[in-house]
Amino acid sequence: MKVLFSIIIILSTSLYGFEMYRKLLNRKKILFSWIDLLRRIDLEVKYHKSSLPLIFKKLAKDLQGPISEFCLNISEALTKKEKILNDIWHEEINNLSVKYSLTKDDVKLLTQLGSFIGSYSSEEQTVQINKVVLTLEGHYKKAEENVTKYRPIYQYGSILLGILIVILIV
Amino acid sequence: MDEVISVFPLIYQKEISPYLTKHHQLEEIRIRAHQPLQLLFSNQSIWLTQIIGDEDCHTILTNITNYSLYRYDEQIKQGYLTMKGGHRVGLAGEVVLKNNNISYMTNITYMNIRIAKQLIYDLTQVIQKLVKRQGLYNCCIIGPPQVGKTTFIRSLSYELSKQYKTFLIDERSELSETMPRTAFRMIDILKNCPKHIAVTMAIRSMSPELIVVDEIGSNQDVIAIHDAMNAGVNVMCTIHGYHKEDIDNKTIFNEKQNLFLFDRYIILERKKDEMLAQFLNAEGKKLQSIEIRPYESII
Repeated sequence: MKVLFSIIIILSTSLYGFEMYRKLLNRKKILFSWIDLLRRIDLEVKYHKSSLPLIFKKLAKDLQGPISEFCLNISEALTKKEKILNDIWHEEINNLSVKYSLTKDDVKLLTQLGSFIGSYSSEEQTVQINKVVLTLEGHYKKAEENVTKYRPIYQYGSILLGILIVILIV
Repeated sequence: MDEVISVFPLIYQKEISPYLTKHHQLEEIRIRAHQPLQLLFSNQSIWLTQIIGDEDCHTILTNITNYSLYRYDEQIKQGYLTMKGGHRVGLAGEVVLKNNNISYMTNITYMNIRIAKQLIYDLTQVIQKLVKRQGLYNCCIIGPPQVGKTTFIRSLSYELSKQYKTFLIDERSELSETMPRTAFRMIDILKNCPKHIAVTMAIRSMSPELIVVDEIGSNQDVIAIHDAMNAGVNVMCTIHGYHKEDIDNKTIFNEKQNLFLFDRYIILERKKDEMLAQFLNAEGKKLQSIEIRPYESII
């Protein structure tokens, strides 16, 4: 019984640790995807001059994973014209933030993007997008550092914590 | 008209909707920040009640451009953009200058949506007067703003494309948007291209029999038209004015160019739902007047 109890405790703390690590990794990945997405949007705005719904439709096909889903939802909503872009954008960013553990700063930055995307001349649009990309790159760098910094803590620390609890209780 | 209504926030859509029963008479919707909307019909003007805010202007502009304002940089510099359905939107706000040229227009808080007429006129009689033994007369259509020059020339190119290889130059995307898509019409359309460049392109590669141009406005346009005529292509174009003399006095023509450039002039006048087309010859001598009515069906 004691052995089983010990295994459960160690497993639980380890799983918790791995889950926390997974969240850090996810945030890093999604930030990278966002930087990629914004660079692609910038190119489309600059050179192809497609409309925003078309850009998102195209990017939904080109990209993969959650960002592709995001683009598809935005494109569909813009085509249906049931809601304004800012509202749809807000909803979609909130969904992403829950699933991919975005921080408050990430959410704030990405939400602001929804209020101005498509509302400027191409020159201004490029400036605005580049500003966001620069800030996101800062966030990404920090996320990368966090992954390196907290990896041993979450992966090995959680196992050690489990063992410590077992020693103390059992 | 749905494409026009849908650009307004919901609160204004409700206000505008009751007036759309006579929608084919609605000519303009004027949007001015801190004032209510103004609807201009052919014979009256109506002020609505809701005051438009700066934010509403921004929303309307974003909706007009389908969240893609960056696509309209060049048009906005010239003070207009063309929305879905061929409706032209005049813009005013703050101009940003760069080296004494317009770099961009910002804070756009004044807009004038000019409703494109989805009418096709019955031009059978007009066309009879434009056809000569071999080919067509080169023709200049003269009329004041809002008389229906664009509608007239759209109908003309639609009818003439049955028999002639027609090249339609639609610099502002106003002509082709509401052109009926009927089979077996010999019409090629070039959109968003400056007229003088488009004329050269047409002559070089599309072998048209007729080039149709709306609103010529610069000497470059006149030179291009002259070149087209010299290349044996017939040209029909519109120009702002009330009389032939107005054209003679325009600075876009120099004396040499204006001398018998066109074989026929058509002066357009509005008479309620009908239009009066007065034909003049190259010397300005009055030939005949024809009343023009739209076809029953609205396309």
